Amino acid sequence: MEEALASSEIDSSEAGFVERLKENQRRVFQIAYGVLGNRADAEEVAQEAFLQAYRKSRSLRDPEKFRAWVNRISFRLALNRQRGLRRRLDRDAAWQATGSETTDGVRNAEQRLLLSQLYTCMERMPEKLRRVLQLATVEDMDSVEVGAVLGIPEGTVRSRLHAARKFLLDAMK
Amino acid sequence: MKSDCTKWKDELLETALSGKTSPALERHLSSCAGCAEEMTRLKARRAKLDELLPGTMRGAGPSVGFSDRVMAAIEATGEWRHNQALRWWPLGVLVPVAAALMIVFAVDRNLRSTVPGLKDAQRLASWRAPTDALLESPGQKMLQKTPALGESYINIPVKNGQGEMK
Repeated sequence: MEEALASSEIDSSEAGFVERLKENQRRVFQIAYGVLGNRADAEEVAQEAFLQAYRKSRSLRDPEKFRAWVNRISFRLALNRQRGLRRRLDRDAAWQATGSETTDGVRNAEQRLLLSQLYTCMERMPEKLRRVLQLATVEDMDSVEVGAVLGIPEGTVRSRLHAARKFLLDAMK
Repeated sequence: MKSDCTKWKDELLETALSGKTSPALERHLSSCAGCAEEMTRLKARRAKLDELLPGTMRGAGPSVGFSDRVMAAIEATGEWRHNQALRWWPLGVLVPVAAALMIVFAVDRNLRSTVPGLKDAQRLASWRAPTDALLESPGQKMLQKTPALGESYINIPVKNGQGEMK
């Protein structure tokens, strides 16, 4: 559906923009969330990303680029906010998100512990590996799109992703 | 894992990730219980990671009504109306111009049909006397040049006292 929309001529009407907003909101939120690790901050960033996309949508000549374009805006805004906040990531929301899918209390607690360990390891990871890993975990994003957001070739994305997983495998003991 | 097995550490990690074991490592694993145990642990950890990583995003999405809030924020900035105005600006120009032209045309037609004798007056104003055509004669050309002193516009031969034409 997203591809179908992208291939059609970009519609600057309210209905057209709302449609693109609804199709992209989840991924745009997750990109910000991957960087910030906090729902409230991620939602603010996602909102700002769509505001910027709206402001500049008239200058966007190629409609097929809307998806990649709004992804980049979200990622850049999230990085700016993270640098501005200079605080440790608050991953409580992520624990809740994962925990809500499990009913077993013991499993839930184990998952939380593992996630806590995972996030601690991710913070120790070199930044360029962490960025690739964060974007690669976003639903519905392949290595080509991750490369487009970061401005690196697909092959580099794959090698960094492998390095990131290797780092985690070694660090999570 | 024994202390002299550290050289296998990287290959163990690679094998846990790729699932492909080299013949050399296979030989080592068959003879080293510590590394074989580490290999099993790494494979289990890799499976856990595969489960955990997508889980960090699973279910993560903006709260209900997000798109409405974004649209409200756009409308609050006034940019939506501004963009709409930009989109329809040709109409904003063309409609008043068309309306003005229609008014002028209607008033003109109305005047023509309601002022008594207007048509006759217009016809009279454009009337030219038939003799005007006579003025469009060689006389007009003659009038275009100024005669020298002692000459006339028209050189008419006249008889002098001796009956000769001069």
